[in-house]
Amino acid sequence: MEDTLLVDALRRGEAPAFETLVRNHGPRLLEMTRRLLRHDDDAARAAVQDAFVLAFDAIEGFDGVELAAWLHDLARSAALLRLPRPLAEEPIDALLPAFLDDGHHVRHPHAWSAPAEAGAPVRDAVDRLPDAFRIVLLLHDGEGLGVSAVARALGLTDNLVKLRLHRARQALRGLLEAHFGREN
Amino acid sequence: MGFDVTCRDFVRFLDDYLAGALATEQVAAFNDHLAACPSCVSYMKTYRETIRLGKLALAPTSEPVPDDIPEDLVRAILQSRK
Repeated sequence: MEDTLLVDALRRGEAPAFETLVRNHGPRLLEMTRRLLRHDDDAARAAVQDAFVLAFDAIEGFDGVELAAWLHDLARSAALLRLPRPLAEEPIDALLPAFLDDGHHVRHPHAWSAPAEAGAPVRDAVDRLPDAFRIVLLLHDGEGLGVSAVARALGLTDNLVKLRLHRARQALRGLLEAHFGREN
Repeated sequence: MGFDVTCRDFVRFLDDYLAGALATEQVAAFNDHLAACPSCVSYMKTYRETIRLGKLALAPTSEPVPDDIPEDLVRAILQSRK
């Protein structure tokens, strides 16, 4: 069923339409909430449920432009509310580059390259980052939100988001160097 | 610009450098540093590769999505509507 027809049916309160909505969009939403919630399946499922409950209530006001994106935003917000707070911010200095007193690198950064199918090890490495860094990276580099949008979503300043994004990327680089550097 | 860029400076401002957010004089100083520092060249290349790989791996469409959703979750969601 096309989205416009589906939305019309939802607005008329037709029960099969609600089930169609859940079956059509639920799998992708669940995949996203699992990623944000670091595979805490109970929390990920609850976030998807929260999102659909909100969607059912708000379908009258839905502008009808992009159903998948609207549901995605609802589920992402629901998942962020279910993150353990405060976000874990344990030090990641060990994963960051080290410098001598004169500002030079302690050791020469190794060159490495990743194979074409590198998605799984990259996602595994991201999962090893503390939440305060991991979530900023997921929202900015994964979900494609801008710095200000990430800041609003997490209640942080733009500058803190930029700082955490930079540290997250540096730490991820360190983890990928350790992983792919071994393979080269 | 009147100051030497160290490796620490270069890494600290790397996001701004890559985003084109630095002033012209700062970019020139960073470029001078890169021309003389193979460590920072290597770091920058792998940092950019990290961003590229991260965006690819974390994009919402990057993983095949399973066809179905746990049946008990579907039931719970539909129940919550009633």
